[in-house]
Amino acid sequence: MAFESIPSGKETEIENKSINNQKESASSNRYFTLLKASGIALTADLSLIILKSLLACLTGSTVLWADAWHSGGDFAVTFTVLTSIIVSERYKSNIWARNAEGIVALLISLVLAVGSIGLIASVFKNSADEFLLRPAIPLIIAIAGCSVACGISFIMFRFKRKVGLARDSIAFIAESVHTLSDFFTSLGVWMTLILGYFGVHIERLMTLVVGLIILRIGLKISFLSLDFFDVKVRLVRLINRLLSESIVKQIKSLNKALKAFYSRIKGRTSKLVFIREDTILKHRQKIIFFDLLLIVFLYWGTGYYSVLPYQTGVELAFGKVVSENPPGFHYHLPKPFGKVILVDTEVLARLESGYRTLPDFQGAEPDAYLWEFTHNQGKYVKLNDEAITITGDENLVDVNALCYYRIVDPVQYTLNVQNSHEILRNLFCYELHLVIARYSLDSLLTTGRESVQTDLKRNLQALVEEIPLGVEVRKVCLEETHPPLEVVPQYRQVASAREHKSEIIHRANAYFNEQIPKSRGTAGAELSAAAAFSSERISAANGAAQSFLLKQKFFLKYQNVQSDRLWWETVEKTLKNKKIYILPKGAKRRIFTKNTYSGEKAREK
Amino acid sequence: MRNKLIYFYAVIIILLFFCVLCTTQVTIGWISVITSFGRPVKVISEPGLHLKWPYPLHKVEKIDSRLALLQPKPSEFLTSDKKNLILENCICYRISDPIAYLKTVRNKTGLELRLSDLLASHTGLLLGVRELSELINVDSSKMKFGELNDELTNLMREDSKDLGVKVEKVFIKRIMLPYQNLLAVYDRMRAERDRIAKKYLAEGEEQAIEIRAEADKISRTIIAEAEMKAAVIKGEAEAEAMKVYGQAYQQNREFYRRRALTISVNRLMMQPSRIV
Repeated sequence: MAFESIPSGKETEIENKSINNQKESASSNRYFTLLKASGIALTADLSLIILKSLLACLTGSTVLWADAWHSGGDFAVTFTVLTSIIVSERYKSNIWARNAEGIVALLISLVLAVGSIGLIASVFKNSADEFLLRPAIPLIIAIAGCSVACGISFIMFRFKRKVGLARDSIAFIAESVHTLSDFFTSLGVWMTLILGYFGVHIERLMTLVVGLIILRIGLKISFLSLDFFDVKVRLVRLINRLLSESIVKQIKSLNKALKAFYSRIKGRTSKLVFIREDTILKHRQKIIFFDLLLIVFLYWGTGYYSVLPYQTGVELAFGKVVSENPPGFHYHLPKPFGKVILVDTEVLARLESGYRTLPDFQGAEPDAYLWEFTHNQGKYVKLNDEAITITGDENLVDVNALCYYRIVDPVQYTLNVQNSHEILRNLFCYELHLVIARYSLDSLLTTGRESVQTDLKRNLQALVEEIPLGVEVRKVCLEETHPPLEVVPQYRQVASAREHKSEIIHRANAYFNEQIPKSRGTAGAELSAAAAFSSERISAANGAAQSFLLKQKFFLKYQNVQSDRLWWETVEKTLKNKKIYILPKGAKRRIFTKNTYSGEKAREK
Repeated sequence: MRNKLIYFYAVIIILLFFCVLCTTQVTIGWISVITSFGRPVKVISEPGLHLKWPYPLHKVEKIDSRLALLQPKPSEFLTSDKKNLILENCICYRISDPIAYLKTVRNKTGLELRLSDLLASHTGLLLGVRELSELINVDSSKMKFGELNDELTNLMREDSKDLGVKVEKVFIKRIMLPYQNLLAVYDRMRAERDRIAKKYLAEGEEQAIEIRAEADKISRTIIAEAEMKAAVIKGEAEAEAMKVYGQAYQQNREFYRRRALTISVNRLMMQPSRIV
């Protein structure tokens, strides 16, 4: 039922045979008119191709390339129609000429199919960015060019239809419908350009659509050309010649099934997949209208947005702030006329000075964040340029500080200030350095931290309100504050020195505690010895005195006897064990003593 | 009828097109300058929709008028007491007069260059008359850092008026010493800490010596006292003994003499000698 774009050669042959020679002149007249019309159509198509290719180059858009391809398909179709007309007119008797028609159609259809498949594959393979328009000329000129292309294809449609109806050529009528579909694709591309001008990008979708359309044309032509060639019959004959009986029987049954399948597809698809041209033709007004309406609807629908629970939506219309919207579902004017800026107002934002926390840190952390490791390893990255600061007593300190703030005025934050986060960070650093320049290093490390934090918060809040920045400083924390790493060993040494000092004093005390008791002991010993000595002496004296007294009592009584006894006892004792020399009387005795030499006379006895 | 419908659509589309071409939208935070073949015609700063002629006649240039931040690279300056400092500055500025801006500096890079140069010269000037103790001081009353920043802001504000830019705030974000001086400061800090450490140790030694001396003193005192007492006791004992002896011998002198004689002779003769 569908209009066939390639008439079979047999049809025109029969037609011609049935016409009398009377009509020869009329048919030749018709022939030349159709030829001329084909020529005009071809020229128009060629110009369309050139125009579209130019536009495609200048805008760099894949959609326009697809449209150019589509025009190329149209050109090919016109060309086949032309060849069929020529062949059917001139080479009526030559079978191979007729076959040439079918071959050309087949080739064209293959080219189209392959091209369209390439286009469709690119839609799925390439990222969305590659489809975006990158015009080297103002987009308005591209839109104007596209409008011209649309106009040309519409005019060609009308022309071909008129000629086809006037000269009773089914091929031309079919071709006119094809040109109409070309007009629709051009219209779609035109819409893409317009929406691209306003920032709504449907290029990728449109490339897919145009690719599918081209695929449809290619497949249709191929099916029809196959039909023209009676491929099935020839194939069957070939197989019969080559193979044996049983296999042929099997193939025949397979063929039957295929045939049934094919006719089913043909019947179904000509209604569904290959949308019938006559329906397009009948309802073209409505189709155009509803397409435009749909596009407007989609465009209007891009204005809906939702505001998440921690955000505020600043809505702009024609550049003016319309409202600041709480969380929920809202509408703003579509893209060029209005927009929304979503600002995280409920989030407590965090600002770091001296270091940065790595958000996705997965590695190992040190066991404890000592001064060497603080904000230096693990999930922190140290920035010495921000951290090292001069203190009031011209020493250096390594400060890591943190500021928590909240956006209270989203309009100020986004629309009055560029890059508010960085400005706040710089103000924070400024205040931090300013405050620290008033404190000495020792107080910073110990007692002054509380007042540093209070001062800093107060000053920063005042600064922020002065600009105004639209934020509220919630909390300022001084994180690890320590002397620079280069001097940390010396700082630790001081603590060690204090310990040493205590140690030395303790040792001295130990000595003290040892010596005093010892000396007391020695003293006690002395006293005891003296006491012992004294009692010894006194006792001895008493004893001797007593014995003397006792002895002398009896001395008086027995004085004489006692004195003699005493004398002999003494002599006995003394002469005991002694060498006794008894010399005769009268012998001269000389005693040589040591003193003889000194001239002393020897004693004579 | 069909023709009319198509023409109707075409007309609507063309009208829309022209509406788009003849209006311009000014967003809040941006300023639009409308130029006609290069000559500035109008400056629009109120947000909203405004009319203009289409493209070739009127051209719109949009300039961001929000507060922007410029951070020039840190540079080294000298104070009046010959101390080298590296200062990091920040400028917060806003474009207030777009026509002057477009005339003088043309674009953002040019502007930033100009502002950096101005800032460097002004900072050098203001810093050269001040001493380091005015910037960094434990005593808040002597510190004039805020005033320095205010002066800097005022100077920059005046100079940037020609550029069509309003400088809102200039501040010195950070003062740092050059690397060599940093090393010297580290050495000083180390020496200071060493001093404190040694002080502690010395104090400890001092106390230890005192304690030991005290201990020695006390022990010697105790022993001396004890010795004294012992000598007294011994003396007393000797005296007592002598008294006893004397008292006893006194009673019989003769006996004593004889006895003493015998005892002495015994002793003498006890020695090995020869009796002739």
